[in-house]
Amino acid sequence: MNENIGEMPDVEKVMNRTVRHSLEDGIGEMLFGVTFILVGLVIFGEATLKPPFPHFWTIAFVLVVWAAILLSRWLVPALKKRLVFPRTGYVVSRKPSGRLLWLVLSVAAILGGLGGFVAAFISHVNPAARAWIPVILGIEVGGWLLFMGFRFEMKRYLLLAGFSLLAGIAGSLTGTGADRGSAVYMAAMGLALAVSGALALRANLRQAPGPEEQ
Amino acid sequence: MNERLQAMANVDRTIHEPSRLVIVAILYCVESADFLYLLRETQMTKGNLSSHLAKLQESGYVEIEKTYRGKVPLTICRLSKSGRTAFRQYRGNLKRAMDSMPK
Repeated sequence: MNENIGEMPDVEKVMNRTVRHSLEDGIGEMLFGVTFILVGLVIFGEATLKPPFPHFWTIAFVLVVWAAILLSRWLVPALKKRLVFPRTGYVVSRKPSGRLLWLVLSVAAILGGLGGFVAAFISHVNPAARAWIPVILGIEVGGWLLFMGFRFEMKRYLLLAGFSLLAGIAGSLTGTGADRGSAVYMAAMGLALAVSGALALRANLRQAPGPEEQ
Repeated sequence: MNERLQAMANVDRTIHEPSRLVIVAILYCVESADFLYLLRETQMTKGNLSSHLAKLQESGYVEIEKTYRGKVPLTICRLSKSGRTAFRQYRGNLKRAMDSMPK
């Protein structure tokens, strides 16, 4: 950014860089990865084990998602404060405005609904095509990663997007059915996200100098 | 005064200075950031950053809070409400000025 000082800086670039900074340390990515793995385990359990009581797996799924949301609000900032901020400086992200929050939730609901609709449609038209549900998951998650990768110039998100598609195809090609295939996809994608986040965190900590007094 | 000159005249000179524009753009994206963060992101010298922050504080665009985290002094900077409005207006005015330039 130093080269911009003295001439007019590219404001959009500066703002993108600031948002990217919050994604670069990989901590959020690791949490996403662990969540994906847990969701994969729940889906695998649902497909293979007898539930101890009715709706057990649905409750387990909701609990995992809620735990991830709650943890992300507490654990991610706590880890950033402990590991990253003493080296890179303390920063508090802006809370999304009500409008933005609704927009994000609406887009997520539309994408989720669309995925569900496509899966239901495929199942209705050709039940055997249910095996391709992991590919649909791979395309949805990959599309989101692709958007984030291009929007904030995060090259590793582009790689993860490619991996998501491949993992989706692999999940479908396992030939074990939609549920087990989806579980394979979620576990593989979760592992990839967790490893990518851990590597990014390690690189980030190595790159940033140790704590220094202002 | 024609439209282009009017748009140029409306550009906020406090924010228009390149170093301060970088500081304000960064602070616009976050709730608050400390001095070390701004130092790393802008790659300015400590003295340079301090003087630009002082100028922005004087204009009422930036609020500065001096505190401690443990024994380490911490200078937390945040864009004030008027700072956010001024930055939005600055971007609008600059866009209008650019748009009215002859092709």
